[in-house]
Amino acid sequence: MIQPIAQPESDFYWENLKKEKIFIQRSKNTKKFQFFPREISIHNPNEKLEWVEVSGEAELYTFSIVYVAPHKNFIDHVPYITALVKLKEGVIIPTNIINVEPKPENLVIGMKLSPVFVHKNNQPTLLKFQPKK
Amino acid sequence: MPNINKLKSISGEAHIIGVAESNEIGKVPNKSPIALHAEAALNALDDAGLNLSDVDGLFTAGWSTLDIAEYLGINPKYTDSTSVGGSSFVIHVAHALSAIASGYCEVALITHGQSGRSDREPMPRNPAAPMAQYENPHGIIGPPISYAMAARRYMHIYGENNTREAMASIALQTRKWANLNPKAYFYDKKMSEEDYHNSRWIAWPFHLLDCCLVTDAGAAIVITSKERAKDSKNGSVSILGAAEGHDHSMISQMPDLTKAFGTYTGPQAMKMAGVSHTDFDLAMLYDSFTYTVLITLENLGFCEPGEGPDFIKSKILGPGGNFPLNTNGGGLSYTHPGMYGIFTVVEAARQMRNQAKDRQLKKCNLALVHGTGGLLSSTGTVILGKD
Repeated sequence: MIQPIAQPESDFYWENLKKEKIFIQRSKNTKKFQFFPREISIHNPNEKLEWVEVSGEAELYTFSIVYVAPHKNFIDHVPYITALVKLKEGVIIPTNIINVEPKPENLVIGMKLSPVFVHKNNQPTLLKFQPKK
Repeated sequence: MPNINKLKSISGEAHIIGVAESNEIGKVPNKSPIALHAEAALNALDDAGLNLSDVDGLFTAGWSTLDIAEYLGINPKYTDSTSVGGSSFVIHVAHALSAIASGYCEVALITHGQSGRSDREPMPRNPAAPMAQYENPHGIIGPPISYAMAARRYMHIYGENNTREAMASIALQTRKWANLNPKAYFYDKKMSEEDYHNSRWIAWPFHLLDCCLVTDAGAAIVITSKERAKDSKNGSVSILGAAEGHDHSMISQMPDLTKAFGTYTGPQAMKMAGVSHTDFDLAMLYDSFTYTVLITLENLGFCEPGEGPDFIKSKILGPGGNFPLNTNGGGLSYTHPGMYGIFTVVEAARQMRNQAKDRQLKKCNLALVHGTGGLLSSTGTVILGKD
């Protein structure tokens, strides 16, 4: 795997994933969400940002099934499912769909997903998704 | 906003007078990437009838002009290392036009060289970039996966079977052009429909034959002023319109996975050149993947969103057809060293200067050249006219 290296504006996001909490940034006045964490609001640079905890309920926006590893660290993982998922709050998050056979027929765009927190000792927790039971 | 009236006033003020590849392209393990830059530069200058000492503007991507100029032993007075993916070299054509029209330089040299195949130049990753934090840890790395996710979204909106058929058709017709180009990686290899459908999965929904090649290659372009182009050795091609831009870096930030920035750069370049869709004799559209061509046709306005598959069915893109597309054999079947954009310009200039040999179009007065770079992130459109 490739480990993310948190930056000052994203420390809060990564620290909370470790506690199995998902925090997304929102512009204080317009109440519009944004992903990924930034120092400024992309909706209105004059607005302050606030962190909001979200449930992680999401739907599948699109996906691919990777057969050829794009990096040596993923050779043991193919085939795996990469996806863009849309949170209830409207933002799109890049991730993997896990706990399902990587076959196109198992993946329906729009299907409901729930979050899975994947912990690795001493490494940042990664936010993945699985089909909602 | 870009000032269209000022842009119209510089339309045609710069001309391409030299284009070339490196001596060999394809598998070239015995040459470094920077040597491929240098080789192509000398070849293009020879095509232009000029010497290295004539060059006063230098443009490159993937490298800094510092390294290229030092290697060539020149001191450019105008330098541009714009690197926004494989489209960069098409964008450099626009920048060269602007630099020449405003007097910053008189002879612009654009160089490219990559050893994608022989792999001595692994892509550097910036660990502080958002991509390294949010996409790469999930194995979302490199173009095939990102473009595949965009293609899957397109299929969801507009239908899987017609999209697949269009993608297959692009791969097959592009290969037919490659079969006429001795420099093409797949010059000697025909492709059947079965070959396409039976080729292995890379990143579903992409088969191997939906994906561009990975080769070693270099190329270069020489551009000069209208005045100086008049007595060029092998003829010149006028730069009539140009536009560039980008709207995201990571695929997860793309506003609409079926619309790249060509929706702006296509119409804008055409407006600057004063031409419309039916005027073109040739379209050179960066084909990193079959899907890239499909949405580029839509994004540029050759057809409406979602009508790409019907458009492709209604035209013949291959040799002898009514919509000549990627006549060199494209990134899919000719060459693709990592950032292919420069080769789209090289081929368009060759077609207009009657240098395309077996694949020479009967008539090629106006060409549209379009680069797509990054993860469908950046585009550059250039309109070229025969002199």
